[in-house]
Amino acid sequence: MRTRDTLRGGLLGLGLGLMAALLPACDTDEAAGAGTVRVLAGGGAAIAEGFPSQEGSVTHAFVDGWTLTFSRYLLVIGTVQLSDPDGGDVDAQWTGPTVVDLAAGRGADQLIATLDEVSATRHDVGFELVRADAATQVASADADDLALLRDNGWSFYVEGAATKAGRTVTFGLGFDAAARYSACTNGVDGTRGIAPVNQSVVDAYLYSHAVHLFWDTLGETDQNLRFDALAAVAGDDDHITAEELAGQDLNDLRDADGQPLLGEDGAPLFYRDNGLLGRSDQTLQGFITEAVRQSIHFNGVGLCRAARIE
Amino acid sequence: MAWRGAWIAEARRRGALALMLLATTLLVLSLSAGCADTLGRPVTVTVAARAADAQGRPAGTFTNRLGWRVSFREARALVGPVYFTETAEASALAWLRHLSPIGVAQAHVAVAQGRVLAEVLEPRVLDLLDPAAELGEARGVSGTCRLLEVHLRAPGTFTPSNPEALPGLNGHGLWVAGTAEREGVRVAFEGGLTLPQEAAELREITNIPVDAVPIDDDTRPALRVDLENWLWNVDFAPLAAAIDPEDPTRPVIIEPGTPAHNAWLRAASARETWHLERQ
Repeated sequence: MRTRDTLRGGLLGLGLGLMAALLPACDTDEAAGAGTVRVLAGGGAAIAEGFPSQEGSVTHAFVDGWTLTFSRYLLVIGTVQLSDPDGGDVDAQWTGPTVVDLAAGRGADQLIATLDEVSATRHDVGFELVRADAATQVASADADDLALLRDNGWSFYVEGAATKAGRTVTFGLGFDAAARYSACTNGVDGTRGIAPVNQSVVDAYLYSHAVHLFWDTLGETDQNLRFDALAAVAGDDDHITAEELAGQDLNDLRDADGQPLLGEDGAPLFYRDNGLLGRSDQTLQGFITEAVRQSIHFNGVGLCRAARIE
Repeated sequence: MAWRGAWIAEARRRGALALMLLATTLLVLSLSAGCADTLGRPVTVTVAARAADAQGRPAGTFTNRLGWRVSFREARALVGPVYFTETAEASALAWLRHLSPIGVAQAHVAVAQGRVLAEVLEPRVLDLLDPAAELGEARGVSGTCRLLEVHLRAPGTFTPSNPEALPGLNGHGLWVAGTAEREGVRVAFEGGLTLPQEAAELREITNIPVDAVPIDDDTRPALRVDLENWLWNVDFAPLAAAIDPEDPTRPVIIEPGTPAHNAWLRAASARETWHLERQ
C-alpha cells in the first residue's frame, strides 16, 4: 500500500514536472501579447545631399574629386515578412510590391506598410527588392517612374548629376538587382530581427545605404568612393546609362581616351569584388548591380543575408 | 511506534522525490537528444584535392570566354587552413532565442551560423594537375558539411612544418603555366599570384555552399578546384603582343596589375572556384 502511494506520488510528480517544463514553450506567444510594426524605407543624408555628406561622424566624399546629387532614387520593395526564428513560419507579412522614391522624400523615412497584431516575441525580418511588374503599385514615386522600371525590368534606379573640375555629367542608372533579404541583424541594437512591444508601435525601417553604389570594393565597409570609372563611359552626351557601364571591363578599366584608368598612386585602378561576382559579371554594371544588392540594410546598418532572385 | 510512522512518511517522501528527480533527468535527456545527435564522434578524414569542372572533367584544355583555347602545364596553389562547417543552429540556442525578448546577436551576415565540424589547419601546396593530390587530414567530429571556408596563403606568412613543402610556387601563393591559342596565335604563358596577407576578404573565401557532404571515418571528401575559372576571363591578346620573336616558345609572364592578372585574381578568390564534393 505504502509502495503504491509512493509510486502514485512519483507519477504525479513526473506528470507535473513534464507539464511545467512544456508550459513555457506553449504559452509564450499568448502571454507576450501583440503590437504593431510600421515598415518604413529611407536613406538618410546621402540621398538628400548626395556626396559629400555626413553620416554620424563620417564624411563620405569621392576620393577622385567628384561631387554628386540625386534627383531620383527608386526602389521596388516586395514582400516584407516577420517570421518565426526557429521554424520559419510566417507570423506577419505585407506583400507589396511598391515603388518608393527616396529622393522625393529627401532620404527621410517613408511609411510602406503597417503590420497589426504581431505577437510581441522575437521575429526574423526578411524583405525583397523585386523587378517592377504589372502588379507593382506606387508609393512616393509616380506613374512615369513605375513605367520606367517596369518597361526595363529594373528593381532599382538612380538619377542625378556629378561634377568635377567644371565638367558635369548626368546619370540615369537602372539595375536588375532583385534580391531576397533574410535573417537581418537589427542595426539599432545588434540583435537578430525585431521584437514588437505589447500594445505599442515599433518601427522596422529598410535603409538604402547610397555609399555602396560608389565604393570600389564589395563586401567591405568604409571603402573609397569613386566616380572616374563611371564618368569615363559617359560619351559625347555626358550622360551615363547602365548599358554604358557594361562596356567598362572591371579587369581593364579605361578612361574616356581609352587609356588605363589610374588611381591616386598612379597605379592602374582595381575594383575589388572579393570573389562576389560571377565569372560573367565582370563589368562595372555587374559590380554596381551587386553593390545595389548589398546596399539595403535593416534598421540603420543592420546587415541581412542577401540572395539573388533569378 | 510514532517513530515508525514518521520513518514511513519520510521514506514515502523520499521515494516521490526520487521519482521526480528521475522524471526531471528523463526530461533533460529527452530535450538534449537533438543536440546529442549533432555533436558527432571524433574523426580524422583524409581530404582529396582535384582540379575538375562542374561535370567532373579533369582540368586540361578548355576554351575560355574570349575564345582562347587554354591548356594547363602547371597549376599550383598554397591552400589552408580549410574549414568544414555545418549550418544547423544548436537546438538549445534556437529554443532560448525563441523565448528571449532580447534575442541572439548576429555579428555579421557574411558569417553563416553553424559550427566547424572539422578542419585542415596546415597550409599545403596543391599540385592541381596531380590526380592523387591531397589537401591533408581533417580532424574534428562527424557530421554533414554544408559550408566550406578556404584560406589562400602567401609564402613567408607562416612556418611550414616541412620547409620542402612549397615546391613549384616560385615565391607566389598560386602559380600557373600553359599555352593559349586563338586564330593561329599561340601564347606560352606563366605567372604567379600572391594575395596580400592584409586583404583577408580576398584570401579567406567564406560561405562556400556545399551540397551535404558527410564527414565521417568511412568518407573521403574532395576539394574540387574549378581551374578553368582562373583563366576564364583572361584575354591573352596583350600577352601575345609580348611574345619574344627570337624564341616564341619562351613563356610570357602574367605581370601583376595587368588585365590578365586582375581576371585571375578575381577568379582565385571567387566562391564558384572552390567546391567540396564526395570523392
